Amino acid sequence: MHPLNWAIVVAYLLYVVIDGLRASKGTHEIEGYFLANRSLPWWAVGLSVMATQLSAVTMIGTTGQGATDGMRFVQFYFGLPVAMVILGVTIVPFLHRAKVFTAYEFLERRFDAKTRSLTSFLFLISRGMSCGTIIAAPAVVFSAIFGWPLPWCVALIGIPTVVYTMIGGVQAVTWADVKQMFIISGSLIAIIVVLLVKLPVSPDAALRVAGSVGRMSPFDFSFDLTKTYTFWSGILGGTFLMLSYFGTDQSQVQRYLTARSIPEARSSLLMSAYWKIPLQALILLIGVLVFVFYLFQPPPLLWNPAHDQRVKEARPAAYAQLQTDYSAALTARTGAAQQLAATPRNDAEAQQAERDFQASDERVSAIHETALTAAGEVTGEAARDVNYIMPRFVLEQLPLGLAGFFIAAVLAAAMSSIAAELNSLSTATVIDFYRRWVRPEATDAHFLNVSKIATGLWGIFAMVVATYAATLGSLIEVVNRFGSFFYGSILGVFILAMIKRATALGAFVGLIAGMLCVAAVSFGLPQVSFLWHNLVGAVAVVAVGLTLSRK
Amino acid sequence: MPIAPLQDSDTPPPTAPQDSVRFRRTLVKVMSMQVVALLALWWLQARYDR
Repeated sequence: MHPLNWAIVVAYLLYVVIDGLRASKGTHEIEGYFLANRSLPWWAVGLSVMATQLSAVTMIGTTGQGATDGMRFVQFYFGLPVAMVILGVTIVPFLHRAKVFTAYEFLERRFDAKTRSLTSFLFLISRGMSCGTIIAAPAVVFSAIFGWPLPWCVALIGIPTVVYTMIGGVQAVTWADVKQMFIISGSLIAIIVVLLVKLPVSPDAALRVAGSVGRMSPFDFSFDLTKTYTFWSGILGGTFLMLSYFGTDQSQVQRYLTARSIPEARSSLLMSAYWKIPLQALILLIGVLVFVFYLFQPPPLLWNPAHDQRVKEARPAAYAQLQTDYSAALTARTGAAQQLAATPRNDAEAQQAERDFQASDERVSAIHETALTAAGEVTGEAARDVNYIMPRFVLEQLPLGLAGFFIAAVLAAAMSSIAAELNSLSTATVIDFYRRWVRPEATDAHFLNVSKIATGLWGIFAMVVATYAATLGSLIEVVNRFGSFFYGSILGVFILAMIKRATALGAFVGLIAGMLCVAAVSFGLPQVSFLWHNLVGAVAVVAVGLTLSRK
Repeated sequence: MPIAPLQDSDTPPPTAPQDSVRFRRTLVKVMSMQVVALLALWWLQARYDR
């Protein structure tokens, strides 16, 4: 990468840390450190909620998914606006009014200490692990693209985030999120402009070509429980997932607890709901346009440069043959794409042009799959290379300076998510365990110091997990499945908390029963998409909880 | 279904009339945006999907 691009990345990292240190002024007690004295404006909280959700995986993984799979992933977010509205009128007023630090603290007031401790403990293990995977995803990509050792990449992302989160608390996290949101949005807009300028066909023709190979299908109305992304899994399973995530996960709850008032907390959630579907659609559309761009510009055989090099060295003859076949297939596909783009939509030859293009695209995909299989055999690692498409496009195609801006945006996206998680992990550790069980009577200054130490320790834990998550490959999937075991169940407990006759015993046993039900569905019917686990867990907890609460 | 015990700290505060109006107005804006976004996606699929 050009030195100017590196200068932009370094300047950004320095700015984030220095700004975080500045934000730490005035944070002398834990109310300020964890909740910014409940003084933040709704728009800053809303941008912070959005930035927390936009992780580096969104910037590089979702765009890559758009390029390879099209727009269907957007259905995952269809339940989000519904969930935000429900939360705005139910759980937000309860939590804000209760003046709690953590969502789980509320459960002790409503039920008992063991329900609070169990839900908080589940949050700590799942978020602690997932924080590591959030660092690992971009670190692995940076390591492969720039050829750096993985621990360096983990440190590059992790250390500045830990420093500003540890020193500045939620104040630093939120204001950094606001700035990071502008960097992320700016880089996405810049990429769209570059794509539109560089595409050799009109946007209309580009989308038509993409649509002919199934990239323009944002809706799938089939009611198939085995498909992850359908309209129904998004609306039903997705609503329950978003209710659990935004209503009961401390990393999100803490964001709106910092708002000045209940109306401001509600507005911040609605602001996030306002932009989520259009923003995700835009990110996927960028991926679709990148796919079209590489129809007219030869893409590499393997997007992961490290894998490409290893296959070339380990199997030179097979690699050369694959490369020759790939070049021929790409030339044929470019010709077919040009023909399709040039044929008027209603022309008699349009259907034939479409069939020719589909056949040529299938040929290219088949050779790419063969190369991926070879990479998997040679490296012994998962050879899915979706996450490398966008970084390669950015580094090879964006003008000078913009590539650095994009890398800074990926770092910003990663840091905003990690910072929110570290801050919430520290809050739950100190408030739900240390202050509740170890030192209930200590001074604010003492808790502030313990909170900073807890943030640092969680940061170190996340970086260690990140280093191993990257080499174990499937750990990310394990963490996601593990999280889905109890997300819906925790939501069920919060639903019980709002039902008058629910008792502490019902809530605690219901929570365990909900997790067992999800485990049974997960292992007994592994083909059922994980989005439905949230619905199963919540319904099971409420049903068991209410049954046991009968007097 | 009866909704939770309205004991001290668990009670949602009474909503001021201007807050309700503001919330409803924001809600209408949010839902309108979702409808526009879904219609736009629907149009994209109708026009460009194979």
